[in-house]
Amino acid sequence: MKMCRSSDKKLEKFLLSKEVETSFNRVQAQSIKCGFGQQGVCCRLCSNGPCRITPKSPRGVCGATADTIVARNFLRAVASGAACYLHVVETTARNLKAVGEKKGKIKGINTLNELAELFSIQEDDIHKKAIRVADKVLNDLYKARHEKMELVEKMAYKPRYKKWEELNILPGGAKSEVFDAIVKTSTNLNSDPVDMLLHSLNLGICTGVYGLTLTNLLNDVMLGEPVIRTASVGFKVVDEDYINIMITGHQHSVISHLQDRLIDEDIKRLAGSVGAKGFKLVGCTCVGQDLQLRGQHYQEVFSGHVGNNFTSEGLIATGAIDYIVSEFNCTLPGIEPIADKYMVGMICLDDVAKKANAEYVNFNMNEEEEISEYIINKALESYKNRRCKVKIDIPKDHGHDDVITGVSEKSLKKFLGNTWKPLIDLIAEGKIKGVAGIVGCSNLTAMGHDVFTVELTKELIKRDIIVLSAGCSSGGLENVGLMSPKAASLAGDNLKSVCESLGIPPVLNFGPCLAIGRLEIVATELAEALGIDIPELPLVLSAPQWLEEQALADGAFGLALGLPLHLAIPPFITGSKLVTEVLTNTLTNMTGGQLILEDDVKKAADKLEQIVIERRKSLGLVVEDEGEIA
Amino acid sequence: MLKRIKVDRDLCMACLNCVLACMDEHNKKGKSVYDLDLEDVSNGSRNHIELDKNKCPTPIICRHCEEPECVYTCMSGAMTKDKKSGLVLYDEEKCSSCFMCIMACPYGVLKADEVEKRVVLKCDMCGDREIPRCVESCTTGCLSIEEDE
Amino acid sequence: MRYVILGASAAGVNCAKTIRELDKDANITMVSKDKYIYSRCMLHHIIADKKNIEELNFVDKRFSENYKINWIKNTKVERLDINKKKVILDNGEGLEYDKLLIATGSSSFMPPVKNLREGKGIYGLRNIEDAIKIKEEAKNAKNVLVLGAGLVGIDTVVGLLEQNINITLVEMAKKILPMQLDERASLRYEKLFEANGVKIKKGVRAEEVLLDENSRVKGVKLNTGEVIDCEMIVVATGVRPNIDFIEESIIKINKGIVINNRCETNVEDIYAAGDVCGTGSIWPLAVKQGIVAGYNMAGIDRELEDYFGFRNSMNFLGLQTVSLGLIEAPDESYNVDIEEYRDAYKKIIHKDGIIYGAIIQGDISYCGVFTYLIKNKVKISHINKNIFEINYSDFFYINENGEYRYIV
Repeated sequence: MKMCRSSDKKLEKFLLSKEVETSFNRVQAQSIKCGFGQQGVCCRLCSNGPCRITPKSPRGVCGATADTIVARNFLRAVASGAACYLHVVETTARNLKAVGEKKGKIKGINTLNELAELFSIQEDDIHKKAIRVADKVLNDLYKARHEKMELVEKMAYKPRYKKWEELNILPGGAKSEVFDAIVKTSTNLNSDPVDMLLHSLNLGICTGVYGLTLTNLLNDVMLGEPVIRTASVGFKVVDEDYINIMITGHQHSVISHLQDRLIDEDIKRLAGSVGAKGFKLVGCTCVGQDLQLRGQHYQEVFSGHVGNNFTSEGLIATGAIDYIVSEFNCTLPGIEPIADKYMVGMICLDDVAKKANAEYVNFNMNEEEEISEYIINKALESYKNRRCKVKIDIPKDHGHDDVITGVSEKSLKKFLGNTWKPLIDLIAEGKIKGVAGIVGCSNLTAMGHDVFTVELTKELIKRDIIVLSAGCSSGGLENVGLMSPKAASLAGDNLKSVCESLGIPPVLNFGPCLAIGRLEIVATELAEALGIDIPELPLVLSAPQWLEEQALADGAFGLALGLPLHLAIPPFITGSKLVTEVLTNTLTNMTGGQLILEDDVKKAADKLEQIVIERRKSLGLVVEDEGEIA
Repeated sequence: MLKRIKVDRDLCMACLNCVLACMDEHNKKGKSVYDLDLEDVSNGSRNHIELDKNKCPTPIICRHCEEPECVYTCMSGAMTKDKKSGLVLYDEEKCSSCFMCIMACPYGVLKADEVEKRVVLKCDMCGDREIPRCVESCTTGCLSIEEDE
Repeated sequence: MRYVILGASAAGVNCAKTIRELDKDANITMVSKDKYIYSRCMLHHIIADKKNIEELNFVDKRFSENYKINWIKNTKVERLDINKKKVILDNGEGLEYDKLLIATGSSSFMPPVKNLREGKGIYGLRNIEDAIKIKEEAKNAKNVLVLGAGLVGIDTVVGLLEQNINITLVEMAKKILPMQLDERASLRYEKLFEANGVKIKKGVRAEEVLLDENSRVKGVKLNTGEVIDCEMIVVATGVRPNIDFIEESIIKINKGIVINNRCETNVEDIYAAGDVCGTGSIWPLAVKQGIVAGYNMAGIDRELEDYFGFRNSMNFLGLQTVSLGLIEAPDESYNVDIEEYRDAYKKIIHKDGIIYGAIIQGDISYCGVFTYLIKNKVKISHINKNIFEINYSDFFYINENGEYRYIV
């Protein structure tokens, strides 16, 4: 079967050796794209359609122009993406509330206290405090659209908040904002591209403040705060001596009971009764990345992170996975036939991610004990049933043992001595030219699996720009060794010496895509420490291999924060000159943000570096001769 | 030996990918789909899709006929049948814009450019390209390339 | 085999090409009074000074070398010696042939108007020499009168518009382009020409050419009594075949040389093609006749399948029109459908499911389908759609070799 490239050559070799069809094969068969779709000018909103914009038909039947069609499609996509993250924060807040109500374990007491203080909650009982914090979040999410959400002001950096207020993009109740975005983009309703783009920014704020930042923090309360440590990644972490449960999704708190229960003595004995050493959770997709981030607290149950979304199919094909628990995306439909072939049972704990051949059990914290028992028994049964029938083939040479993980806004600051000053000094001296967040997903179309991400990252660190990563991009970067300290050798001389003296890699691993929110806290705190606004920082974002609608909602937050955001593949907007112009240009005068579309690695790195240099200049920082590093 | 674009009409879904591909390939601003300005009427496609009486879509693509009416009718020498490649070639510099070829093509393949009405939009089989862009972009298998002895 | 081809335009050239493609060893001689191979339909570009003679060449520059043709140019045919199978040239030379094609074309016809054949400053537009003379003369003249508003007359006007000169167009019929257009389509061109400063006199005849003492043209008197001052006249009132070297008693002539569907004349081994046949030939028919004659001369049987001469496309002053078959319904038994949008005017004349004529103006995209339907009298009554939306997909069929074909 024809297969696309991966930056991860060992993964490529492994997939080639397996007789299973994966996304890597299908992307070839899907290589011919619809140009109208790519340019965002196909409209399917009514039965007069589908309408497509061509030179011969410059308007839809209803009269919608390319600008209107593109803006509608874009806002719909951002709304869907925002909805996904809002679902995640809603589940997380409800789980926190349930933990409070049942007086369950609070592992991140510091974070809880900080949030309570920020939200002006006076409460001594930690469980009641947890309930009240969760309620604050839920109350905001459920507000009507005309009621502004309260926590935005408390969470956001002041100058940003003022900017958003000025632009009239402060969100009302987040779910209502999504709701009306859907209304707005329906048949013969809003046709104003600018209004729809502003609504997208509004949804970006909902996504960023709630879906990303608050989800992280609420999870930290329930599951523990990230601690910097060294971990193993890749297929090598899979140990066939255990009953292996692969997890896919984004809602870490859904497996919070399960992950603790799996290492209880009685369960270990149960595993022993069928000849296994115990149970392990095998990390895959963002929830695996989340477990890795908090891995300090889960060293026994968590075998390690294997890889990102598009590694999941390969992981099942090792034969070493006995059971799959999913609670959100990225649970690819493509894993279904492979799970069938390798006799792997699947269970889904949230119907938003219900897979056709998975069993569905609605997760509910009040029944978490029973659900965990059920999963354990199913996994056990699956193990018993399949192990004698399937061949196990784990590429043990795949991965690294020295990946630095557990980086968060807090752990990083702590690492620096509880102050950002050392980092600021390094930047000021030019030892670190700037900061780039390489975030978002992995796709197979921007040069291949993680190819653009890896190449761009290498290009940036070569230019002394330190890279922070969150999302499936980090899954790819760690598997090719860029998050190991030895990767310092790939950095430019200045960055290399910084990394070597601190013992860190030039690419820092913040974990799941949710942690894009953590990167943005870092940006905010750096700006705060310097007394400037975010768009003045020598900091750029790139989601080179963005995949899905969620990434667009993340991106909308980045743009609302005033960050330059690079994408290798245009988000289906180029069919509208107006939308393209607003996002790539006009926006700099509004939020300070800017979309950069560039499908060439070198040129993308040039553009990002150029912005970093310009920002340094305006801050009066040392600027080396341009073009010295090539 | 003539390369001819084979058309299996039953497979056409009117996606217009072939039309877009043709515009992409002949766009003076660049060949990527993202270079294509879909509102720019000056960039016309040399193929098109027609609907028959049953609304069944049909790609209308130059056949580079053995006995090309467009060549017979061309009084300027712009339209020629290349004996070697078998292609019907069009030289827009030579064209005198009389549009007799548009009138002559029995299959309604030809039209004038939309803005200047000076040249004829005529398939060139994408020049040196091994596989014409429309064939490459056809998702359904409706268009394929075959070599005729 | 010795082939002699008289004439080096559409029919002659295509005949020569065809013979060479069929017979590598053929001995082909082409005789022409023309010094160049050029497209007569493009002479107005010379008048307009937009193209030169090389740019009117419709074949490759090295045509005669590539096709190994012995081309005797700038030479007229004096007479034929049919018994000796010999062509006598005006330089006294004789050319023997096994097969002969007569494709000597036609010349401008000067109607019997007083002083029209005598005056100086009066031209037809048939040859490159005419076009060059008209272009040069126009530089010295202030007023020109174009007699006849058919395709040649209009071409002349279009060419002259590029010169700084007053133009009067005189047409006997009540509209310009009377053979090709109905009133409505004609009127649009009329307005366009008038907007460009052309004076148009319709429904009038030239009665007399007024000459000065040097026999130079100074004006034209119309049948209405009106006198139009002009220093130059271009006559575009039709053509007559070039057959002055033929003895009518031997080769059968009607309006021109009579040929059968194999392009044979009544005399064995003598073929004819193009304008010399006098059947109101148009370029594509001349080409096809040349090809068919070529096949038959080379001994391969081939019949002419296209006799449809009533078709023309025109592109004047940015307005395109295609005229096919009938332009008006002959009687009430015909249906006339009209469609108009923006710049477009389309009219289709049909009866009992067969289209007999069409005028397509403004938007001629893909209209060749109607040419085919009219030429072949294709039945369309089973096609249940707006007649203007009929297109090739309604007759779609793919041959094994990948070519399209009509399924009717």
